[in-house]
Order: sequence, then structure tokens, then C-alpha cells
Amino acid sequence: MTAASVPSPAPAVAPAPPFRTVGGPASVFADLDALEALAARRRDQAGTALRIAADVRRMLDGLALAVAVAPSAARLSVRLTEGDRACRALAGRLEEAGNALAHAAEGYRAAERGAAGVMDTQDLGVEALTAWMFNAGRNGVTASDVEFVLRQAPDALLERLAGEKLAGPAEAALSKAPFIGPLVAVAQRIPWVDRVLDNALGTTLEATADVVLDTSAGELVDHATLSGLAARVVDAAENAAVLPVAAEPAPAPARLDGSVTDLLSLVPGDDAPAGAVTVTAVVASDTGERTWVVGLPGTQERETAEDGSTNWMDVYGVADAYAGGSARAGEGLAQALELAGVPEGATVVFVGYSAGGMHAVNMTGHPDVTSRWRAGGAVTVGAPGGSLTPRPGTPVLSLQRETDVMTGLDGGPNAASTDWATVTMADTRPDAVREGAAESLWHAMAEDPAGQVRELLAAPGRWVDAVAGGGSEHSLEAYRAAAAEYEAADPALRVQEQGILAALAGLTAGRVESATQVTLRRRRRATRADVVPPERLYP
Amino acid sequence: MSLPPPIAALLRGLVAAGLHDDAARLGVRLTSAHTDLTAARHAEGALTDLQAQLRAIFAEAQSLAAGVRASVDVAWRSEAGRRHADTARALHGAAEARVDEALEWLALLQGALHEAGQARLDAEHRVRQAEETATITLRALAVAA
Repeated sequence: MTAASVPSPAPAVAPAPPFRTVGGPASVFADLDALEALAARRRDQAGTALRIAADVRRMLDGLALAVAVAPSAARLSVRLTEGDRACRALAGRLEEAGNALAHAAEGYRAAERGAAGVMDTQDLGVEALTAWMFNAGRNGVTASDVEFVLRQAPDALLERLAGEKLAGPAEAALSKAPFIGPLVAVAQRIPWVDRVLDNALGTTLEATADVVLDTSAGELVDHATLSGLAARVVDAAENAAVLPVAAEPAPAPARLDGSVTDLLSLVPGDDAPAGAVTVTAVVASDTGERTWVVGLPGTQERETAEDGSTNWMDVYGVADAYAGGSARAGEGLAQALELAGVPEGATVVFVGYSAGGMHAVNMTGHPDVTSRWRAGGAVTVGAPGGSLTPRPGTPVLSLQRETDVMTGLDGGPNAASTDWATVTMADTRPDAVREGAAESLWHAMAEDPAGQVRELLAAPGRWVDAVAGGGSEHSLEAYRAAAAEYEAADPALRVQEQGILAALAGLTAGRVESATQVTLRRRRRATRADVVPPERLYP
Repeated sequence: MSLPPPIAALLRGLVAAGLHDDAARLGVRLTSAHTDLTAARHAEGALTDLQAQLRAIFAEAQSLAAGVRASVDVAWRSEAGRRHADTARALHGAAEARVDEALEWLALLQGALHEAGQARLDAEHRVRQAEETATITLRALAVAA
């Protein structure tokens, strides 16, 4: 065998990193301020070069007197003319460089704004989007897939609507569109959704039908606008003040090591009472300083009643977090901190799962909290945070799983910055496992949306289990495992967000001094019985 | 052009002595030399002013180059920053070239100042020579008389 025929060993393929991080003190976002400052300096320098050019031209005037006397003055006159041109050219290049830097910084800022800054180059119609969904789902459905579909769907559906001739009410035209038709049918069978639709969506569509048909769909609406509007409608119609109603000692580990894994042990699980949060005092071993860690649960069961659900962590609580900056949750949590004995001025770190993570981010800037305590940071897992804005300068770490489609419901990425790092665990599922319940639903939805919605009505639990049920990709257990995997990985992979991890660990590592479980409830809304005399209610 | 009073007096003396041709020749020489002297002095003055301006331009060009240089060795994390690093190096080269140019201008200006100084000395010498000629002629006339 000749040397040439010896098969060379296959090049070693580096294993894919188990996660990717966007944001953090050592990320590109650290460059943003520097890029903007340099852009301004470049423009100043362009001004300086232009001033030099003007001075050079003035010198030429003064030099005219000497040209006849001194031959060198004549040569200088020629060189100054060239110098004037060179200085103006340099000014142009400096200005151009400044503009390029400013443009780049603007691009990063747009990305930093998260979902609002996301611009998809593709613009798919309903059929193309459905086909894309079908193909994308072949390798498992991911959060990115869901985000893409949610960003594309409003345009695609409105384009379809714009092609419909409105023979009757707008709702009738809506019902002709795939997806929307079945969803309207669902809405009409769920009393609270139907009421909201009747009061808000239906009326709004009736009133704006002409505008919808006459306006380019792309200019009319996007996912962030639509979902924000819907959340505001739900928030205003269904939410009420949140109040702490009980406090009792809670079990807690003797120490916290400052890791994300340890912090997640403070997040109330399924065994905790509905609406309960934990407030844990941690004393740093070296400094003796105290930090209070607030653990926030994920979305819980809605307790349907005529006076509305009093569980503030039900699905309406998501609307509070999504559209209202957790206004109501923040008022309640501030009172909960007081009830748990957190002294004013103390440092508080918020740790939340799913919707609790959204509240955790919002708490870093909630006035009722920040006016009395120092928000030291936040940790979120499985929280769709694309619409959220943490308080600048507050370290926030968000852990997501690419396989968790719930984190894609925000329609875009979290707003990355030097203070906010989002770690997304890669989809490492074997091919066989990628055909789970979520994928089945995804494919079925792409093929037969109307049929799937009918099945959803018959067995809603199947959908819930698929995307949010116990043991699924979105479960708290899955996130505890993800946190452990993340923290066991090569530390070199975490260098980008290390500053945030260190800041959070510095605050939360230490001896657990006390742990309190505070249960909060949403205030009961007035019912018809409260405002209508019984004899008129029951004639 | 009006000649300085001592020179005009010398020329008047020659005319009074009937030496009209000598007075005319000397007048031409003196006027030319004095014109050159005035021009050389003006040029020297202007060049001295320009030297101060050019030193200020040189300082500003140096400051500009240093400002551009400051961003060359930044360890950028972003792609935009890394892209700009190459631009910054090119800009620094261009700014340094302007500093070199300003140095060259200063050297040329120094040369021009020297030349203007030489022109002044030369004109002064020519004025003195014409004055001496007139003085010698007048003395010779006085001795002959």
C-alpha cells in the first residue's frame, strides 16, 4: 500500500457546545457603549481634520506675500494645496468610519431590544408558513421555531384576510382563514375568551375592518403589538390587586452555594400552596452581609369562579407580567417582603420559573420594590422574556432550553445586554426522542388546523401535557437538570456571562438564616351579587 | 516709491552738483534695492506669523493622530468593533501622514524664512552699496571743489 492510498484519519469533529449565551459583561454588548463613544470621537476627529484643512487654506493666503521672495514658499504653497485636499479626504474617512460605527451600534441596540428588534428577512404567506412548519418540525420543534412562526403568523393571516371579501361582519371573514377560524370557534366555546373577544377583538375588528383591508399587512401589526394588545385587554378585564394573605416558615437548605442549581431549590414546586412564594435570608460567610432571595413559581391552575380566579399566578398573571410590567404582582410582592420581615434597604434577588421568571425580571425595576429595597439581580428559568426590560445595571441570568417551546411564546429573543445574559441549552435530543407530543401536534396543526382545534376542545389536557406538563421540556424538573448540566460544563464556555454569575453568587452564597413561605392571592372581584340586589338577581 | 530721507538727501546733493546722470543711475539702483528690501521684510514678517500658525496646525495634527491611535489596540468583542480595528489602523496611518506633512511644511517654511532673510540682507547690502557710491561721489566733488 502506498502512502497516498493510506486513508487519513477523519478529522476530529469538535463536539457542539451544550449551550449558547447571548449577552453578558464579556459579550459583544460590552462594546456597545465603546462603539457609540468611538463613533462620536470619529466625528469629532473629522471636524478637527476639516479645521486643519481650513487653517491650511488660510495659510495659503498669507503665503502669497512670500512666494516672490522665497522659492521655498512657492514649494510650500504647492504642498499646502495638496495638504488641504489630504486633510479633507481624511475628514471624509473619519466621518464615514464614525457613521459605520454608529450604524453598527444601532444594529446591536436593535438586537438588544429583543423581540421588537427582530427582523425576519422572509415574509411567508399562510401556505408557505404551513409548509415551513411541517419541514421545520421534522427535526423536533424548538423555541426558535415557535418564535419564528409567531412573528410570521400575523402578517400571513392578515394578508389572507386582506384577500377575503367581507360579506358580513369582520369575524365572519376571520373565520374563513386557516388557524383563525378554528380559534374563533374555540373562543366562542370558552366563556371568558368569548367575552373578551366579544368585548374587544370582535368590536375592534368590526371597527377597523376597512383599515385592515386598506393597509399593508406588514405595516398594520406584528406579533409583539398583537400579543401586547391582547395581554393588556386580558390584564385590564380580569386582573385585580395582589395581596399577601399568609406567612409561615418554609423548609430550606442549610446553605446555598450561589449556584443557579441551588437557587432553583427555592422556587416553589407543585407541592407548594397555590400562589405561594419563598423569601429566604442568606448570610455571606466572609462579610456577614444578608441577601434575601425570593423564589417565584411558574404558571398555576386557574381557579375558575364567578368572581374570577384568586390565584395571582394563573394565566392572567402572565398578562400582568407581559403587558403590565408585573404592576399588580409587584405591589403584592412588596407587601410580601414586608410581611417576611425583609428590612428596608436590604438586597433582594429574585429567582423565578416560567411566568415567575417574567415577574422576577420585572421586579428589578418595579417602583414598589426598588423604592424600598435594592434589587440585586434576577435568575429566570423557562421564562419567555422577549417583552421584558430589567432595570439597567442589574445582573440577570436567564436559562432556557431550545426544546422548550414555551420560551418561544414571546416571539423573539430576550433583550441581551451586558447585564442580561440568556443561556439557551442546545437541543441534544436523539432523533427518536424528537418525535414527542409537541411534534405530533405541530405536524397535525400544519396539516389540519381545524381538525386539531376540534381535538383540542375534546382533550385540552393533551396540549398542556405536550408543552407544559410534568416531565416535559418546560417542567421545573427539566430546568433543574439543565441548570446542573450548565454548571457542570467547561467554565471556559461561561466566560461571557461569568461576571453576572459571579455577582449573583456573591450575593446568594452563604448560610441560610431564615426561610418564609408567603402566600399571595388576587383580590376577589365584585360579582353581580355584590352590585345587584338578590330580588332582582333571582326574581 | 518714496525713498528714505537720508537717501533722498544724497540724491538731491548729486543733482545739485550737476551730476544728473549719476543721480539717475543711483536712483534706479536705490529704488530697486529698497523695493526688494521692503518686500523681503514683509515676506519675513508674514512667514514668521505663518510659522506660529503652522506650529499650531502641527500640534493639532499630532493630537488628531494620537486620538486615532488610541482606538487601534482595543480588544473588541463585536464583529463591528473588530472590523473597525482595520479601519482604525488605516486612519491612523493617514493621520500620521498629515503629521509628517506638517513637519515637512515646517521645514519648508523654515527654508522660506531663511530665504526671505537672505533676500533682506541682500537688499540691505545693495542699498548700502548705492549709498556708499553716492557718498563717495559727493566727497570727491567736495575735495575737487
